[in-house]
Amino acid sequence: MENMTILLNVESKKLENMTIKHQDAVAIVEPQRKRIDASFAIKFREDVIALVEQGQKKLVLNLSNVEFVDSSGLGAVVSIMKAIGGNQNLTLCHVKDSVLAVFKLTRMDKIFIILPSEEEAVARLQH
Amino acid sequence: MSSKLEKELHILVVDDSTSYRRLLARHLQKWGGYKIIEAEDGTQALDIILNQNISMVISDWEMPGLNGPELCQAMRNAALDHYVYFILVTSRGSTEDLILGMESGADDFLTKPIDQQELRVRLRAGERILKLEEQLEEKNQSLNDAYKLIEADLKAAADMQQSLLPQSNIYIENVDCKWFFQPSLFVSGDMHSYFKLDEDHMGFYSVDVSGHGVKPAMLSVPLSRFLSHGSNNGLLKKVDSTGTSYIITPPSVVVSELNAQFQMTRQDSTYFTIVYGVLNIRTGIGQMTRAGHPNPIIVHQDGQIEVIAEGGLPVGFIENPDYTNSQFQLLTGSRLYLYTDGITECEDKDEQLFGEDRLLNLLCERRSMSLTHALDALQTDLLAWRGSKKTAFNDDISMLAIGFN
Repeated sequence: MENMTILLNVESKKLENMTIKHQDAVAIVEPQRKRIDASFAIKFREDVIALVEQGQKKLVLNLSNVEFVDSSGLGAVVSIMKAIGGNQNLTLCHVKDSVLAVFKLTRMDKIFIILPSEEEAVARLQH
Repeated sequence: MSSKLEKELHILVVDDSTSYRRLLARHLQKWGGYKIIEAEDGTQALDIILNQNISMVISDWEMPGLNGPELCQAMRNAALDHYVYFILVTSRGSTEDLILGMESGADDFLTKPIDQQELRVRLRAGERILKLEEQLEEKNQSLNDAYKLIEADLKAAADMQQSLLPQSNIYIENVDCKWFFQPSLFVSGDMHSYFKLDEDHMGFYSVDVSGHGVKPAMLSVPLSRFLSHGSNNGLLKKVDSTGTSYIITPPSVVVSELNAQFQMTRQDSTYFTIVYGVLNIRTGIGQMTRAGHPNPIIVHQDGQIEVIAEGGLPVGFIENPDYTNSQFQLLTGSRLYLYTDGITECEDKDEQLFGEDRLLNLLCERRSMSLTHALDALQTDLLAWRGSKKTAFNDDISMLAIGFN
C-alpha cells in the first residue's frame, strides 16, 4: 500500500493551460496562465468542474502564476467552490496581492480559505 | 444564357509580334476553355484590362512604349476589383530580371521559346490561383453579410437597453442627477437608474453583471424590471395598511431578495455586483447596500470625501450572505457617485490601473464644476488614460452622480 501512495504523489498531467497533481485524495490544480479573464475563465471552470463531476472531492487551487482575475475569473472560482460543495473542500494558495485585492473588494477573502503554501493547503484538506 | 458559359477564362495576349501572338493563340484555342483577346502593345493592353473582364495576361517583356513589367505595375496600381494573373514572357533569364518582374507584380515567368507543356502547366497553376481568389471573395461577402446582420441586431439591442436608462425629463426636487453609460460592445452588462419612490424619497442603483457583451446585457434587462419603481406593491415599496402611503423596503432587504432570486447555476456562472440605496430628498439622509460593487464616493462641498467601504458579497454567489445598510448624509452641494469597475480598472498601455485614488482626486478637484462638466472631464481623462491609439474601452464603463442641493 505504501508503494502505491508514493506513485500517486508523483502522478501529474498537463491539461491545456493547467497542471494537475494528485496527493492522496487531494487534487492540486495550478493554472499556467497569468490572467484568468473572459478568454480563459470558461474553459478553466469547465475543466476543473469536470474533475469534480468525475469524483474529485478535495481540491487545492494553486494560483502562483496568476496575476490578474476579472469578474469572469472570480465567477469561475466561485462556481468551482459551489460545485465541490463549499469552502470546506477547497483551499486556495499562493494568492498574489493583486488577486487578493479583487477577493477583498468582493468580500470573498472572508469566504475562500486562503493559505500561504501548497503544503498547508493540502494538509488542511487531509485531516 | 447561363453563367456557366462564362466559365471560359478570358486571357489577354500581349506582344508586338503578330506571328507570336497568333502562335500563342493557337495553342490556347487547342486546349479549349479559353477566350483569347490580343493586344499589340502595353498601352492597348492596359486599356483592355481596365475596360474588359480579363482574368489572365500573358505579356512579352520587351515592347515599345509600356513594356511588360511597366504594364504589370500599372495594372496592379489600378487596384481592380478582381484578381488578374500576370505571366511575363521573356528571353532574358537573369536573376535581376526575375526580381524586377516580381517587384512589378508578376505572378509567373515563361522564357522564349515557350515550351507548350510548360505553358499549359503554368496556365493551370494560374487558374488554381484565380479559383482560390474567387472563393475568398465569396467567403468575404458571406462574412460581411453575416456581420451586418449581427451588427444590426446588436444595435437594436443597444437601443432597447438605452431606453431602460433614466430618461432626461425626470425631475426630482432638491437633487440633480447626471450619468454616462458606455458599453464596450454595443450592449452593456452595466445598468443604473434613479427614480422617485414617494413624496420624500428617491431610489438609485448601479449594477454590473459579470463579463461583457450580450450575455450579461441579457441579465441586466430582467434585473432592471425587478428594480422597477413603477410597481406600487413590488420589491422596492409596498402600500401600507392604511392604503395612503408607502413602506419603502430597506436596501439590505432588496439586495437579499435579489440574491435569493439570482443564484449562480451549474450551467451559468453569471453573477452581478450592485449598490442599491434610498435617499430622503428633504433631509439628505440615506441608506445604501453595497454588494461587491466598487465603493460609492461622496464628495462634500468643503472637500471632505467619504467612501462607502462597508459591503457584502456579490449577488448570486452564496445562498444566505449578510447584507447591511450603510447610513450616509448628503449636505448642500454634496455629490454621491456610483460607478462600475470599468472605470477603476481601466488600463493604460503599461497595464497600470486608473484606480480609486486617482478617481477620488479628480472628483474632489472638480466638485465645484457643474456635474455635467465634471462627468465629461472624467470621460476625457479615461480615454486619455487608455492611450491615444484606442478609441473604445475594453470593459463597460458607467457612472451615476447624484448632486444634493
